[in-house]
Amino acid sequence: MIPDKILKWVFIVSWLVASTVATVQTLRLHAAKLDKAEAASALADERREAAVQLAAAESKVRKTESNLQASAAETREQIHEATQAIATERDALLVRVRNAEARAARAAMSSAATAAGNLQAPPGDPGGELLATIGREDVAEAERADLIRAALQGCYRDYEAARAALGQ
Amino acid sequence: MNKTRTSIIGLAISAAAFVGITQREGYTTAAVIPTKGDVPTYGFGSTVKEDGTKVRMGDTITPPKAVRLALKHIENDEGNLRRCLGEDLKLHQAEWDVYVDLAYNIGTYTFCTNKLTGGPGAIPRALTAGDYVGACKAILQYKLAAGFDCSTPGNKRCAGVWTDRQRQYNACMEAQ
Repeated sequence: MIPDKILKWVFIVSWLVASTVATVQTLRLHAAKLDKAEAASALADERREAAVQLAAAESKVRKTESNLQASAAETREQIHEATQAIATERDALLVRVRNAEARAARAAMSSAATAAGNLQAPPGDPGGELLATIGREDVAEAERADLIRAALQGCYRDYEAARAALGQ
Repeated sequence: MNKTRTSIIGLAISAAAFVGITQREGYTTAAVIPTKGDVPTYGFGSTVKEDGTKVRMGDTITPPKAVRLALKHIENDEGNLRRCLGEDLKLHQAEWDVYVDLAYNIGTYTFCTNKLTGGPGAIPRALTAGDYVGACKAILQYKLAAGFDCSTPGNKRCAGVWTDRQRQYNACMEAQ
């Protein structure tokens, strides 16, 4: 039989060991909880910082996008204005060509009348003849060229604006 | 009309204005003296040949060569205008077209220089002072042909010159 005294000491030692283990485990658990809380706090901080940075980046991108849209709108407006100016210039030029054609026709009639009267015909008007045949085509071709140039200038402008906005 | 003026470095005469100049000058295969007291011209009013020598009576040219010569002449004039107006100047396309048209007709030296004072001409002076309307009005000063006032009513000597100046003035004012 084990003496009661020994059992008592075994019990005490066992209780001390169990208590120590329980205390250590409790402390470790507490430390783990603290670590977890710190990690959660750090994660929250990081998320908050990331959200701030994302918002700033998004704001910058939106601002760039807005600037580019404004620039593109301005380009469209300029092309529209240039197109109107080109149309005005075309109309004025067509009037001049029509007048030149009328003058050439009058000169031709006058030459024919002079020739019919058995008088020596004056030398022809090559300038008048040339303008009467290609004047209108020249005007149309010039308008086409000017419209293409206006569009190309708009394209260059948009390209430069985009390049500046994207910092390239 | 464009609200903003562009630096004249980036401006070049419009195709319509080029056609307008050729239309205004008219085409002659053989050299002629267009108005009394003027120098011989051929093609689209060219007074010098491609090699830089002056056109003389009896010289002839073909239409394609005349177009090339006129364009070369205009590009040369544009360079002279940029130099005399200063490359910082900003103009509307229509204004540039008008001044190149005028310079082609009267010569860039006459356009750029005041023959009495030797200083800048009336148009460059007004433009560099920012007086765009004053520059348009100065176009009407270039109305003399060999000393004769082409704005004289009923004259048959050079009435077309005055008609041209009025057209250029109107085009310039429309751009304002």
